[in-house]
Amino acid sequence: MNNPFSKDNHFRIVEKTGIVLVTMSVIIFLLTFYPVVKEELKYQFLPKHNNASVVTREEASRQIQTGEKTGSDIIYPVDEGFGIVIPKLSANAKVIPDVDWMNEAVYQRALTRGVAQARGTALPGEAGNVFLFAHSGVDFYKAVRYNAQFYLLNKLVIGDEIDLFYNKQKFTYRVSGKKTVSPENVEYLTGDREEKTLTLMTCTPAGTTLERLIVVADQVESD
Amino acid sequence: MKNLKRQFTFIGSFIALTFFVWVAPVQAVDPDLIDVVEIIGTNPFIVHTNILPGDAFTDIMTVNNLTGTSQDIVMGLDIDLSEGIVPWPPFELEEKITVKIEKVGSGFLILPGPGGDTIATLQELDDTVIGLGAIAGSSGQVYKIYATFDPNAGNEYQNTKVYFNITMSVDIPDLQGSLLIAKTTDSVAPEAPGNEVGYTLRVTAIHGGVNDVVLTDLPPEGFAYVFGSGTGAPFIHQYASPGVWDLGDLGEDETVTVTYKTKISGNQDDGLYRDIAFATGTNGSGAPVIAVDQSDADNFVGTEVAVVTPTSESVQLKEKDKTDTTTKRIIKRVLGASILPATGAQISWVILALVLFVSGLGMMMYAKRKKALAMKNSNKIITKIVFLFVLGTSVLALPSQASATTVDPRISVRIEAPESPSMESAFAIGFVTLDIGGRDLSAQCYQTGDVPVTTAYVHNNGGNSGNCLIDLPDGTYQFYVRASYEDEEDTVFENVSETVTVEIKAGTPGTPLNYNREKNSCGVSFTTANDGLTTKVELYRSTENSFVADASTFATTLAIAPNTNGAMIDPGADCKDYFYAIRAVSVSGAGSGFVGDDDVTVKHKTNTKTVTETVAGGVGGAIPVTGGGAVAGGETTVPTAGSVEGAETENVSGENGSVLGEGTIAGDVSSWISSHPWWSALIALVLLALGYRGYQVYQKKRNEQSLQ
Repeated sequence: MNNPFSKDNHFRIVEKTGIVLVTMSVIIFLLTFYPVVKEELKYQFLPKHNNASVVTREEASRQIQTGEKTGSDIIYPVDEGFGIVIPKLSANAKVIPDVDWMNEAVYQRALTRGVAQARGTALPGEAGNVFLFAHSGVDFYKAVRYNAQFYLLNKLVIGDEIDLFYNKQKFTYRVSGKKTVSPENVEYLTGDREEKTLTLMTCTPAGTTLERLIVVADQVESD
Repeated sequence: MKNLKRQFTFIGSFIALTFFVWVAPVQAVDPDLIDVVEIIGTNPFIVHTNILPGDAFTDIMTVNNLTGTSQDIVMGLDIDLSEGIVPWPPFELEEKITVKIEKVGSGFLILPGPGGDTIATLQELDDTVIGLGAIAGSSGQVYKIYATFDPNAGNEYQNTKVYFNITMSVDIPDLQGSLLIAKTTDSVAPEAPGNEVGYTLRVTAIHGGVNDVVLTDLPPEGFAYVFGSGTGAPFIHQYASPGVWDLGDLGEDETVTVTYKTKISGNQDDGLYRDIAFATGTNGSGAPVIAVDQSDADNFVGTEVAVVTPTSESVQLKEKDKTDTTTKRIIKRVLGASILPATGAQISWVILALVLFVSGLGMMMYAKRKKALAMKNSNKIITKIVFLFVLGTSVLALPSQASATTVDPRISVRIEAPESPSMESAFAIGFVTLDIGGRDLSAQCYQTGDVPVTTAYVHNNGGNSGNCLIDLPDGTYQFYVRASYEDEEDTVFENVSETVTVEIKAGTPGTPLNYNREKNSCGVSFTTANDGLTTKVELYRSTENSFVADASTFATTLAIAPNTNGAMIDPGADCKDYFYAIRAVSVSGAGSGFVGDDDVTVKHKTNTKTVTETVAGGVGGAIPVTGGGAVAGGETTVPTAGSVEGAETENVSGENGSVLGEGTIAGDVSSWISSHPWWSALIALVLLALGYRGYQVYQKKRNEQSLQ
């Protein structure tokens, strides 16, 4: 019969404990970064919709009736009342308006339902800055509860199109800048109050809260 | 009882050779159902490419019941192949695709069709209704949709491109009544202490009637109900603590509006005062209903009212100046918060994973090496493991302790945003707490870092208002209030207010001594007080012997140390006609009393403090913004006693998260760990290594001693 207090057993316990700890760490890493990796792989290997027509259902019907071509690749916003579509990233989400961005409990709850529009910032079509934020990664134990619409925000480059839908009206923005800032740079919330701009924010590097990735876009006025 | 629909339309295309399906959802906006039910799919909802006969695919759909009670959900399907088929096929595609729907956790749904089983073709599903079963209130149910393209469909679909629409709708046949609540204030500009402020609350029943509706409303501390001003419904309990209104039974789409007025205390401190309210009732099934605030989808509503003590003299701004000032103040208000929202994973988990990984790896390597060496004292290893664990987990426990919170959404607490900077070291910050459950709440004010600053309040029967009594030295502080309820099993339910930042600048320099002016001269001499605070002396003058010290009477300033003789000369002409006065000013801008020519009376002037602006999309309350008002005359840098300077308010934003000089050691450590995660991890690892090394040395010495 093996002596449980033998030297061999002690070493085995140490070794197994080490294996358990390493396994736990790998699980935490996987669960934390799995959504990031998944989104990255989808972005790399699934078909892209850079040139998709982003229209409301109503507009699509009108174009079909008038014979205008909408293209074979059509994206409809999931929420025409307040939604965001980023064709390049295949991101399509509803926007939760007027979210208290200073209250973490409130905005975390809102982020389970979509992208959040920061309270006190402009709405689409208004002069000023529309400030939207969403998750880029979440704690491993609640990853399935949260949307991750902005995982791929870093893929946007100057000139990329972002479409906002508000009260069934479409507002198109073009990316004009992208930067990484510290969490204290709250001036990006207000932006330029004279211009019609859109700022998207998420945490970076993905899966952490160390810094904030800011993407600024200018509204393209329709002809 | 209602039967409402939310529709989703899907457009797909099939191309047989390289079969392609692209299905994206369109959500028809139906305001009546936004708070009732929603369908969430992948994004886009369904995407399948290169599908050939014989292929199968699975998609996931989540249906969320947003009401507070269980609902039987029914899904309707309308499949339309009539448009966009190129060329029109001589065959029936909808017969070639079969579907099964699994309610995850409950098995497959019975689908319409001749078989009465769990499988049906698209044709059989067209224009049918499928029962999705009951979904509990405020929860979601996942459904898996399995579709198979008939493997025997053959080559007849070659070169055919087909578009099809599937319209899915969700019905709730027995939708019960629920409530919406909204609150506004008639305050659109800063109010002076003693003013009256009106509030309006609206409660609406939707989707059905709601009985026994009770509205509970709590104005801010210092806002007293004006007796007899309440209209719209009788009181169950008039305002003394929360006001409780009996709204009675509400029919579907019926709205009850109650209004009342409050009078602000004459001693009210300057600040931004917040209030809260909620409403409850019972629906047709007798189930409890809590009203929803549509602005943020929670159960509490509230407004904000700015209070500003009137200044000794008003400053008239030009219209343009007003606009500019307001704009700047809005920015400052936004900047008043600490950091941008955190949308990533807490770094502490990554650190934990790193520590676990390194520790585990170390143990594995250690065990392998030592196994070969066959150590003499095997018990040492177990001791070491335990030591490593205790040391590692105790270090890791610090950051996790700092962030642990159990939130109960039935409890709400709101804190006043006080005037900042404060020229008083002792002041009060008002707060209000309400609990939908009517439980006895304990309310405690904290400095950030979980440092209590006031004795805990006990608010019986569902909450009340209170004050955080602050008395702290100069510095910048952040405050918040935690309201909690502890049940008999010692489980704590709590919620935490917003965090507000206050800069205290209470240090006031002493009035200069030995003031002297030769008759009709343009110069004065003096000695600064030995106060350790004086940094400069300001000279004011006027042709009147009673004047206000402001930009229009400001002459010049002299930088000077405490307890120092000084002299100043008025650079202006005709000084012989002027009366002069001086005062000392500290580095924080606080001014001393005045001393000057005989018979001169100088009034202090307080600059503008706060303005408000209603922000679109808000609850209707006034969103206040603090900042300095422009002082007419151009020399706007002249600080005056008790003034609130916009520029300095702006600076608060640059100091976010720094604050907290008065925290306890534990609080400081926790805050530091939270704000320096990588350094914390490094230090934790170094401590771990040092501790382990120390223990090795200790063991070695002990073994040597035992051998001797």
